[in-house]
Amino acid sequence: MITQLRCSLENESKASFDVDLVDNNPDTVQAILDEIDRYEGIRCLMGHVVISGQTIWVPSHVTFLGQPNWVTRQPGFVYIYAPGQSICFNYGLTTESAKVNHFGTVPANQLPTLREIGELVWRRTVTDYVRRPVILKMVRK
Amino acid sequence: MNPVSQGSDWRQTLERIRTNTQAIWVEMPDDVLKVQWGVIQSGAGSGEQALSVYIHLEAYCMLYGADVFYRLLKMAHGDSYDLKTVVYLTKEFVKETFNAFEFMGDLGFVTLSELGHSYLECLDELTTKPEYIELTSAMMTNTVRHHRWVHYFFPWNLGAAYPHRSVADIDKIYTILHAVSAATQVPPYERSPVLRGWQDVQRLIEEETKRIWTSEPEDITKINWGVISSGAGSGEQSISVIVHLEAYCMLVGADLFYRFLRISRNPDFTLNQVVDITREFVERTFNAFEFMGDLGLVKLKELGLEYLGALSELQNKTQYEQLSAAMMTCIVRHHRWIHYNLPWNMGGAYPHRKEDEIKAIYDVLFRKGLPAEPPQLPPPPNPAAPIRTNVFRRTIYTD
Repeated sequence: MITQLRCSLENESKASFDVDLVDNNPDTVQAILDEIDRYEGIRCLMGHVVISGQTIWVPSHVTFLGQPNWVTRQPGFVYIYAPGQSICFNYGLTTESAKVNHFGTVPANQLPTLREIGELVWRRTVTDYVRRPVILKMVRK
Repeated sequence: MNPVSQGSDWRQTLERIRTNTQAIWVEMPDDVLKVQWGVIQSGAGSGEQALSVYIHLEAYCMLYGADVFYRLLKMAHGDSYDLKTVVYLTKEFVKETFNAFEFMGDLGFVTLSELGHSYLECLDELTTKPEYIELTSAMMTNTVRHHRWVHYFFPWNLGAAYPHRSVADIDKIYTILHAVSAATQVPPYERSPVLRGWQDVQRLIEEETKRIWTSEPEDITKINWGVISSGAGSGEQSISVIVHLEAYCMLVGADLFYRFLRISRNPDFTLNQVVDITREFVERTFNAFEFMGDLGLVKLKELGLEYLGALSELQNKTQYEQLSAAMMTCIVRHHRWIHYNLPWNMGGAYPHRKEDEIKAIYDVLFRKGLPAEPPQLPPPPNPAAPIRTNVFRRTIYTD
């Protein structure tokens, strides 16, 4: 059975999606689950990349030094950028060649929601004149 | 290009104005494209920049189109003013003392300028107010359409650097700066005497990370307001401070510290070697924490200096990893706050360029006729300074 995480935005209606954890990246998956258990979920302000295309991220405390699962980014892929301690969600275009440590995937039928959230974070934290926080909480489902 | 006025027949001028309006209705005029690229034949835009040209075009096209011509048309429609009077008023508002169409030509809207001159020249040919209304309506529409093109390409995104401020914003920065409320005062930082060992330093760092996890650090609020106590930011500005903080917090946190932790896991490296490498990268020659303090992150600097001090107390690499992971998370969280506040919207002034766009401006400049040489200006009363210090264009000095 697939282990799932639930990601929800605070104070935003209809803004939640799931993440199916992969079974070929046990070290990273365990690090993510440990973080969720230790802090009762991963909760912080979201940000949007400004170089690599259409990806949003949420900060974590994870210091991951284990074995990664390098893959090429695809829409719906959830990965950890370990040096930056960020959980990243690709929701469309990729404009960076580096592979990423993929540990989860947003189900295909929820990609439109992920895209909506990505565009929301882009507006709220990059293009709007005034910054307005978007807070995500990721928990075990 | 329509360099020569042909305003001997007002109906001919009317037709030319209408034809131009139709041509630029959905297709960007060549004049607009050139201004957008900063190609301004007159050289207007002091210091070789185009932003002031954009702003003046926004102003003049908007005011003369939507305000001046509209009011003149209203007066012409009414009974209070006869043809002679509205023609007089039109010349007075548009032409006399300072010719608005001439100025818009200097700003790069050459076609609008030429049509405007033709319009002004044939005003005396008009014999009835309906003729005036017909001609002026066409001129107004053309001017307004030009204004909308300016509005279209104007880098409004720059507004990110000039946000509104709420009373709560003012209250927050006032509180931080003057500490009028003990409840919201920055927690006082105690130096080493209260720290009993590296574990205390780790605890202190982790407490700060927790404190700022979802609440903006006071130091960053101050930086956002341009309050930099060290004075860093040459020329008394803070954008360079924010850019350097984006760089240093990102690199020191996500790149250096993450590599320190990876290296510490390598069994070929001893604790002393890992500590030495850490000091080499962030302490010796140029202390990254001191620099971040100069840039306004005073609290982070103090924590960083405590971290460096605690490195001497470590007994094994497990302790190193615990302490350094706490420091890394604290720096990375600071980076994300800097990233959150950086006015990325200014990217609107630095768009990517597509091949089609390059081709379009190339065609305008070289296929449709080379741009005329800018008019020769009289020599300045005093010799120009040997080194230009007021231009925005970068100059490469080779010696």
